Amino acid sequence: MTESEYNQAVETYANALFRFLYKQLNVREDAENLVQDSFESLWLNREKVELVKSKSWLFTTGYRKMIDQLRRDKKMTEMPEVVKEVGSRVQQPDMKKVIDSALDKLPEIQRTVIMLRDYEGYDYSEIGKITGLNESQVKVYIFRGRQTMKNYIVKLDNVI
Amino acid sequence: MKIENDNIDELMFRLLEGEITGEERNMLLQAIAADKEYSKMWTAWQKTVLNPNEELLVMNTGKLKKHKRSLIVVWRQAAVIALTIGVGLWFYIGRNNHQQNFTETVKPGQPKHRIITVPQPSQSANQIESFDTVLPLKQRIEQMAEVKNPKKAPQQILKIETPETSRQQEVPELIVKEETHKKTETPILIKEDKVVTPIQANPVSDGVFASVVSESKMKSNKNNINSIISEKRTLLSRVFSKPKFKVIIDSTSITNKKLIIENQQYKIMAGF
Repeated sequence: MTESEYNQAVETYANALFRFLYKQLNVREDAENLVQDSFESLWLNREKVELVKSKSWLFTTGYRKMIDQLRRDKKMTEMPEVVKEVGSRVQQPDMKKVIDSALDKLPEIQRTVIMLRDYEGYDYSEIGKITGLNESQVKVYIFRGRQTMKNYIVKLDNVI
Repeated sequence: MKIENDNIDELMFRLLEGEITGEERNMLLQAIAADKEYSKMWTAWQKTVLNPNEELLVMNTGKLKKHKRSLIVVWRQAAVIALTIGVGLWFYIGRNNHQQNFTETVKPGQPKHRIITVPQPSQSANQIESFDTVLPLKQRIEQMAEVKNPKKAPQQILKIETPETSRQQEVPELIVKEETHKKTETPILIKEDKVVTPIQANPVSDGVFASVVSESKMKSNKNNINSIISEKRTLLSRVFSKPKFKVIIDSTSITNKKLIIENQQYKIMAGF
């Protein structure tokens, strides 16, 4: 990967990676730091990584770094405060916030595969390479994640 | 395939993911249209798909980019580094030479070298040198003898600063004055052997005298010399004295390298 190709990768994938990480961490600074670390790692390995594979490489690196950080910080994936907040506003719930809170309720791996699937458009195989799972596991995690979100949304609609 | 509550979630998920067959798809869509509960469930399933366009999360990507350096910039940086090293070496070498001079001269035990320029009593030496070479040898010898003989030139006695010699010298001077009052024009020196002539007390040729001067002056000058040395260490010499050069890997710079020039007091880091 040349310098211009690296800069092209920055232009193309930096914000996507940031969004992916920010949605998991919910802390902007942490997400930015992880993005920076991921691109720094890409720059150091630019001789080995081709441009066409750089996106997958970046998301894999970013995901692993994020897991490391979550383990370090012992951050729990469930965010009960946010759910309570959304649940208390039953008068006019914003659907985006409802979906965000439903997403936050998911275990980290389910949230990850769903975001890779929806935000980045990866197929099961690519998601498996990034997360270290096989295709069947990816499919099961996506199914369970969506089912949990669906149940949360249906339940909230019933309350309303 | 029969659509039931047990498999409705699986079918809707497959429909959502685009993995359902044509026949199953038609059956499921008919069931959703016929049943309000299924319709509500399908709407909820559709909402689980995240819309990337709703999320406008961006960060400053400018700091992630790497900027190519032009050849001129590289040469300019190389010139600056070379100049810095050169100036540092120049000060380093200059400072070492300066220190060597002082340390050689100011050895406490052996002050054999002159550290202070003692004014030379050039009278005799100059006179010896300025003898008229045109004169015959006999006359020249006589002239030299006249110069070296203190009896003929009592007024040329030099006062020596040491306490002993000054006390010794006071006596003949007083006596000379008394004798002159007694109608004698020729000065009489009572203690001739105690009179110190310029040749005998030549601080230049007499090593012992020079060493006395050095020792007496040295104690008072020791601190002065140190202060002189410290004064001579200018800012640049302190900055560049005994520098160590290191190149370390630094991922924040473009070349992943960082140059460090450091000594005991200062540290200069340059990433490029």
